[in-house]
Amino acid sequence: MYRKIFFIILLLVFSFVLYSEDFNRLNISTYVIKNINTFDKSWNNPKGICFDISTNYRKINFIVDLFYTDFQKKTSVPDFKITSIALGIGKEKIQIYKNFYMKSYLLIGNNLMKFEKEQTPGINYESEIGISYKFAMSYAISQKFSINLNFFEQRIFTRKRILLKWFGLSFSYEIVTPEFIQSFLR
Amino acid sequence: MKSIYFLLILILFVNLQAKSASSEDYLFRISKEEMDAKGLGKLSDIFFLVNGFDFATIDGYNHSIGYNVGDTYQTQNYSVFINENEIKFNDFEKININTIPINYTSINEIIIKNDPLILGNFQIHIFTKENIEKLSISGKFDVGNETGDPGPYKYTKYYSPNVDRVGFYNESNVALKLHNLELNCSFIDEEITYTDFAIRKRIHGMTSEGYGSVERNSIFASCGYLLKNNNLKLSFFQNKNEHEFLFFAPLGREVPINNTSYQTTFSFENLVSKNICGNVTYYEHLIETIKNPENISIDLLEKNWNGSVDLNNKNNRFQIRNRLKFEMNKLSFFKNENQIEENIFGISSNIKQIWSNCYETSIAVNLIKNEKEWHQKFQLLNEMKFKKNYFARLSFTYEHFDSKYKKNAWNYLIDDGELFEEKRIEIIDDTESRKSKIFNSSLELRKNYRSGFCRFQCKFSKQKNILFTEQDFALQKNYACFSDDLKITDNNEGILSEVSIEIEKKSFYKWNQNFYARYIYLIESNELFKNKFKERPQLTINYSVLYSYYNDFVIHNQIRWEAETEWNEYRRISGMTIEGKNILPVILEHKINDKFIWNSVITKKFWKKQIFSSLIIRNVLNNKINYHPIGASFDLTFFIKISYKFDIIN
Repeated sequence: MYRKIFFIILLLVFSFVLYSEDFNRLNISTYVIKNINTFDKSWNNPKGICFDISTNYRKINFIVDLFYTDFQKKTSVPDFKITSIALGIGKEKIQIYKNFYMKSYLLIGNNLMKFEKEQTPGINYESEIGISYKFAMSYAISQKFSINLNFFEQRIFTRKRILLKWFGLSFSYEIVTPEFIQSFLR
Repeated sequence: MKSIYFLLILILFVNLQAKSASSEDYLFRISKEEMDAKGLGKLSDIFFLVNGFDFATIDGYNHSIGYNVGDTYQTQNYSVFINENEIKFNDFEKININTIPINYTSINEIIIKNDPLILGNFQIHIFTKENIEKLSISGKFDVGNETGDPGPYKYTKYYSPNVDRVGFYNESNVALKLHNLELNCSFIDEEITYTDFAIRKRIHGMTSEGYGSVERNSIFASCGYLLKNNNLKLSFFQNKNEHEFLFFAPLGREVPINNTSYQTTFSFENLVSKNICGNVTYYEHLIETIKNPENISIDLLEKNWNGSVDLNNKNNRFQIRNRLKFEMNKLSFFKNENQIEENIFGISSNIKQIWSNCYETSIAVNLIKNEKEWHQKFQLLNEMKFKKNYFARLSFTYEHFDSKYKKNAWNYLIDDGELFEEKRIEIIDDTESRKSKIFNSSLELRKNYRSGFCRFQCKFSKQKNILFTEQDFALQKNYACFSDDLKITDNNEGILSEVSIEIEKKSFYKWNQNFYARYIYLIESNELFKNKFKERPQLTINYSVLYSYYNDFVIHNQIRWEAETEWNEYRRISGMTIEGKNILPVILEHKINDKFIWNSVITKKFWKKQIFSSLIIRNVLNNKINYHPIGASFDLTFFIKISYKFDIIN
């Protein structure tokens, strides 16, 4: 367990490592998302929450993404929760029409799956690599604040792949990266 | 014999005519920056990063490699050096490069050389950083993960066991400079796991401690002192692997051992005269077999004293290097209480004549003598420069030696079947002390551009009386491999040729692309030589592209394709399935399909480049990759690496 926590901390550290040089803008987003496909009939289609921070680096954007969801059992299998942290890269937002923008990211990360303890004696968690693709249509309400419609596809590399598709709404707020963070990270 | 004395007198005479030091030639060089950008996770990754290497591995920890045209995975004829000190660590004459006690953060560069003064095909030289100003502290943490766990499917009809795990790796280094004194100390702590289905099944039951993982501890410490112009250095190297499962070829299976090696080297430069340098080394290697139900024991104690003295001279027309060397080897097998001792003496010389700025010729002679007879290696090298950017190199090497000239652990094993007293295998020795003869030639043409280079290489190798061991592996009921007999023949011969092309192009300062293709062709051989040759891929194509953004953010992608290989010794196990509780069935094949591998590395430095971080993704496409018929299958794996370096300057 400690190694998993250590691993997640390292991922977090790594993600902040990317925030150097002239990363002068941080875009913070909070999502509410709904699973729209059924990866296995034994579990429901849950809702999830997601939090990400992206920043500009020349003409590309880096993103660190935190995600949480809770799958409820429909048969005699245990419930399980997925907590994931992922790092991604994407093109700077593209203007489609006036205040409408498009964003997309490709992410790779670690998915910590924790199972209901009563039904799984011994180890009740597992960690697996995942790749995900995020697409968002964004409407800028003001210079800093925007509202986004998101489509999110996630593949977790278990022996039989888990494919999860999500649809949701998010709100983004952009800030100037605090100087002390920039100077520390450079 | 007279000719040898004549040669020695000639060498001595030419030495007296010249003064000063020697020049260096290398086949390949990889710098610290390149290693960082390309994601050197463990030392064996250089077999991936350096063009021309082929390798086979059963567990991802031990590797058999091929580099030159005539190399097979059985003849592992190379050596590893740290700061010019040869590291003698080996297991039955096979080097496991991952046990070399070097701290990655302190590596400055790795050079692949073919030094004519050393018997063997090539040498891997690792150089650590020098010129520490005052105090330097560094640390590194690696963690990784491999795909293939069941996840929630564990509770459904798609059940599969929880298997894959990548061990951790930590290292730390302190270097200190006080006036003329330099101190350096490195520690490595690593865990290597055995999680592959096939390996787990084979090693299951061999130890009461479960499937296990290797716990590795390494130390590298050195103390250098500059006395006037004399550079004196004392170095200590140690590697300890606990609970290692060493694949022991004669038995065809893993044996649980505790494996400890240490070495102390005293080296000096400019001690008596400006041109003299040398070293004295003591090496000890202890293998202790862990008690196992099969009662297999390969306990071994190896002690070795060796040393060399170099005389280097140079003037405008000549560069001369001479080396005198000795080796005292003592080997004890605990099982039969046998001991063997051997003394080896050697002399070698390399004379380079610089005819003009455009043409150089180099001649090398290498002679080794054990208690019985001499063994020789001769090399002739011509280097030519045409105009400014064209370069050509033509070399001929001839070796004449007895494969069993050195009484090492491996040769002892095949000479003395007592170790296999329970007749697990029968040793059939068809050898008649025939001397191996190897003739190699190579032609290299290179054109340098402003933004890269283009290199064409053509190699030819003729080998005669080569010693090979041949086994016919099968599976036991418990899925462990075994072989009925081990046949040794030394009348194998083959003629091979190799063609390779390498193009490197740097676009602007950001993009760096490298394309490499190599084709090996067997012209003529006997059957066994042909079978050994087929274990290496005939055709290899490698393309890598590096994108560097302000030097502190680098993305590197490597795409590699290798042709299929065939392992004739394992043909009897082909089509068999390993299955059991908590494992997925594994179908074994003696032919390994062609491999298409995509590796990706993203690195970023921050905090004034003191913190270095990288994300390494191996086998992005998650193809099933095998490097040995009974070896592990390597899935998509990713590693996170963070290293920290802190220097106090002045």
